Amino acid sequence: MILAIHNLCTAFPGPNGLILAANQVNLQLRSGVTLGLLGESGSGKSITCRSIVGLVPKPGEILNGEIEFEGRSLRRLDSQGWRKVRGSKIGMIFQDPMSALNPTHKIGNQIAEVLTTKLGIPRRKAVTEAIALLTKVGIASPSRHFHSYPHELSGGMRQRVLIACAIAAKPRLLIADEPTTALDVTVQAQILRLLIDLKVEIDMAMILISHDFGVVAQYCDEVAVMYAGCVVEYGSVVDIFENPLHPYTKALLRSIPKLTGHEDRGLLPIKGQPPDLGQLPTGCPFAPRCDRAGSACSNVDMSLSGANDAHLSACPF
Amino acid sequence: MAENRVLMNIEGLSKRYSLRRSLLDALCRVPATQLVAVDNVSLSIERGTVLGIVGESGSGKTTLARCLIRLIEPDTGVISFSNKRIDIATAYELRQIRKDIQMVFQDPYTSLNPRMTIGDALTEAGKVHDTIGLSPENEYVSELLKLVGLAPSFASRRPRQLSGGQRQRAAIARALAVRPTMLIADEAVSALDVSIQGQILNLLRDLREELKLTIIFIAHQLSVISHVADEVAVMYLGQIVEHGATKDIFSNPKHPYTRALMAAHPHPDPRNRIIPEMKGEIPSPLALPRGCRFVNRCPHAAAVCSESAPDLQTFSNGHRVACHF
Repeated sequence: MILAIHNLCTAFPGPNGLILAANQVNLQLRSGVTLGLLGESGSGKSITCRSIVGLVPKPGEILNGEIEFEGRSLRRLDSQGWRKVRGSKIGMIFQDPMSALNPTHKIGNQIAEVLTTKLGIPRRKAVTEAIALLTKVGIASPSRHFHSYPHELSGGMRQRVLIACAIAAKPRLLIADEPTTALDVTVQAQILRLLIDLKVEIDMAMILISHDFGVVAQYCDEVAVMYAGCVVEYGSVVDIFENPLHPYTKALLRSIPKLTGHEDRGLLPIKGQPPDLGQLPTGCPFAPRCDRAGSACSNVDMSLSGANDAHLSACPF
Repeated sequence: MAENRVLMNIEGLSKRYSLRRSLLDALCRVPATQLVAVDNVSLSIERGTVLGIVGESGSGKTTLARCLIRLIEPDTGVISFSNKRIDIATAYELRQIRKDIQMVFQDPYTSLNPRMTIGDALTEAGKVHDTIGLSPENEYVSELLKLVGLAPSFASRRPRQLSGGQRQRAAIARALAVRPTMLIADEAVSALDVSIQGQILNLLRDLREELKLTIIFIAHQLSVISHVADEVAVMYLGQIVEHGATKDIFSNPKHPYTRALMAAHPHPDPRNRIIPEMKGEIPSPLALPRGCRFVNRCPHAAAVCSESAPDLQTFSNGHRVACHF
C-alpha cells in the first residue's frame, strides 16, 4: 500500500460553523494503480488531494484523520519534511498549467530546477536530462523548446511541460487534478495516454481527479465517487460502470450525454440542485435528490460497506 | 427544400482580423498579417430545427455565431433571416432583428447583471423590446420563470443567490423575454456539472417544442450535440469541414477530422478503451498549412492534400464534406 487515508476530515470556517469539504474520507492506493476521483464541482475531490500533500488553502485545515504514505504519516511533517516529499516522492499536475508554471523562466530551466533541487543533480547534467524529459513527454524539437517561455506554448504543450516537471524526480505517486479539463478532446486523449504510459514506465501510483465519467472510464483502474465531501462509492472501474451500487453513481451514469444520443434523445438528469455544503441534511447528503430516498436516510452515517471489500457503497439500502 | 421553410441563410460569410504591424513594417508597406477566423461559411437553417456547431477551441464557432447577429461585423457574406438581410441592415432594422434572435452564453454569471434581481432583468428586456404589453409585470415575470422551470419567488433574487444551473435557466428566461424565433446557445451547458447539464438540455428541447424555436447550438462536446441537434456542422480553423443530418454525421462520419474527434471522445465504458489516432494540435490560424487545413494532422493525408484545398461536396442526402477522398 503506497497511500492510505483514514477518516480524513478537512474543514473551512463558514457563516454558520464549519463546512466539511472532505468528510470522513477513506482511500487506499497500491503502487501501479490509477485511482479516479470522480465527482461534480464542490464534491471534495481537490480538497482531498490537497490534504494529502498538505496544501489545504487557508483558512481551511485538516480536522482529523490519518494520511500514510509509504508507511509514514504525512500529517506530522514540518516544512522541511514536506520539501522532501512534494515534487520528489509525490508529483502534482494541476488544471491550469499557465498558473503552475513560472511565466518569467524558460521551461527547460524550470524542469532542470526540479532535478537540481530535488535530486541534487549538477546543473549541466540537469540540462541534458531536462531535454531528455521534454522528448519523453512528446515535445517536438526539445533542445529548441528548452529555451521557450510558457506563453510561447499552446495549452497542450504547457501541460506536457508540467508533466515533465512532475515526473522529473520519478515520484512514487502522481496527483493529476483535472489535467485535461481546459484542453480540447483530441489533445486530451494524447495527454492522458502519455500519463498512463509514464505511470507504467516509472511504476508509480496515480490519482486522477476528474468530473468526466468518460475520462475515468478510459484511463483509471479504480474509482472513488465523491458527493458533498463524502466518498459514496468505491470499486474497480468495471464494477463502478457496469454494476453501480450507490443511487448517485447510478443517476449520474444515466445523465451523461453519449455519442449515440441522437438515437434516443432522452436524458435523465438528476433532479434538484447541487448540494450546499453549509446546509447539508443530516444523514445522506444525496437524499434530497435521490428517487429512492426514505425516512431512514437521515440516519445513514455514510460509512462504506459492501458484500466484498473491493466494491463498497455508502448507501445501505 | 421549400424557400419559406428556411429561416436563416448564410452565404460566403468570412471574418478576417488584421494584426497590428510594427511601425517599420507599416512604413515599408509590408501587408498586415491576416488572421482568418471564419472562412467562407455557407449554411441554411430550417424553421424549428436545431443546428449543432461543433469544433475545437479556435475553430471559429463563436465568431461565426456573433457574426450572425453582427455583434462582430462580418467582412463579406450574405445573411438573410426570414427574408430580411442582416448583413446590410441599418441600426434600426438590426434592433428589430435582434429581438427575433437571442443569445445564451456559456457563463450566465457574467451575462446577467449582478445588481439586478432576476425579475428586473426580465422586465427590462420586455420593456426595451416592448413585448411586455399590457400584462402586469409580476405576471409576465412569473410566466417566464415558469417556462424555464423556476419558482416565481426567484424574481426577487440576484444572480449570486442562484446556483450555476439556476442562473443558466434565468439567462434562458431573459432570452425568451422578447419572444424570439431563434436562439443561439454558445456553449450554454459547457460550464455546468453533468447532473445539471442534462436538465438544461432537456429544458431547451422542451422549449423548442413548446415555442417552435429554431436553435443554433454551439458546443465542443460531440456527445452534447448528439443529444440536441437535428443537423451538425463540424468546424475546423474557420471552415465547415462536414455538415449533415445528425444521424448521418454520427453513424457515418466522412471527414477524417470528424472521425478523429469521435475517436478521441472518452466513452463512459471501461471495456471499450480508445486509441487516439490524431497527433498534434490545432495549428495557429496565423500559420495555416497550404492546401487542406487539416493536412498536417490527418492520418490519410496524401500529396494532393497539401496542394489544393478541397471544396465542400454535397452528397445526395444533403451531407456535405470537404475532403479530397
